[in-house]
Amino acid sequence: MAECGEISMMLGAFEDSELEPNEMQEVAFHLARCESCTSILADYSTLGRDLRSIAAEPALAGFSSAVIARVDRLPQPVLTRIERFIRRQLDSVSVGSGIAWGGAVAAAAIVTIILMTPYAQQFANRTTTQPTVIAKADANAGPAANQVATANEPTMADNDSHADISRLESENHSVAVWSEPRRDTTVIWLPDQP
Amino acid sequence: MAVVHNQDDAIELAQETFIRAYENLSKFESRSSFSTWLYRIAANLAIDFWRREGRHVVLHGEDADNEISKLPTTSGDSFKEVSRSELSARLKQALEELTPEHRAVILLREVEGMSYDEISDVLQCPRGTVMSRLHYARTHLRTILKDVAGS
Repeated sequence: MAECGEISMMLGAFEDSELEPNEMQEVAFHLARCESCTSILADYSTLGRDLRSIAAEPALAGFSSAVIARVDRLPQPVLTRIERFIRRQLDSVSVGSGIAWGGAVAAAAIVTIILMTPYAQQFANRTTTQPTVIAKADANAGPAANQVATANEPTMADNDSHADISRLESENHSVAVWSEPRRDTTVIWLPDQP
Repeated sequence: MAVVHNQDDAIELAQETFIRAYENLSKFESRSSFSTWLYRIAANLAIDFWRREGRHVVLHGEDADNEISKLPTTSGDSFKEVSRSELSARLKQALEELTPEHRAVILLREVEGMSYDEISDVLQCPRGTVMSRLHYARTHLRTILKDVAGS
């Protein structure tokens, strides 16, 4: 039979049913023959009941509102404050003034669109119609490849030098012409004369 | 309530628990249940509160075991006979003599009915530590209450 000292270490866990099955069995076997350990176990059980009896529930009337009031007093992030401000405004406005606010916002949006459209168009034209010459020289074709741009100064498409050439136009084998219609680009390659 | 023995303090700690939870909600990682996370905040606040209040001796590991062995051995009558009010007062006093960690463990077990694994999760300590703290707390409380019954 296990010693009382060894068993007493496990009595609490036995009371809580937190021992392994074989340990539960060992303690139960010991308790069947040991009055002292049985008394300790009974005291643990009583202790648990007494602790539960003194742990009175606190009066929680007004608890949640007190917590919410404290949360409201906490410093809020800027976005939260803006959101709350807007929500308060929306809550406070009547239907009539809501329609007025909505109309004002819509009018402001229309005016903004009218004013911005020419600039947006100008910007779009600048980015899409700027002529570009894409040179894609073949290393085996010789170093002296002349490039002719369709308009303005030829510029290398640094960021897009690998752009695909969509068409190869020319039946003359000594002159190669590529064109890239989407980029408004044409490349003419003339090999070195012998 | 049993942890701090004062309703105002208890309510203040409970409110503070929810405030902390609100402030740190983004840190909740769902590794444990939300209630366990909330209990953890509450237990930490209670333990900190008790540390500020003082009046206890912290014992760990072998020191705790030695202290248990020094406690007077008791046997015989249970403490059922002691009047309820006296027992309640003595029990609260006995709880105050425990360290915050021991008190938290026994209250989480006996009052909140948590399993050892849940207590381990709330207090973030190994299960074995939960068992040894519970053993110490129970032995200590029983001895004190036996003394009351004896006197």
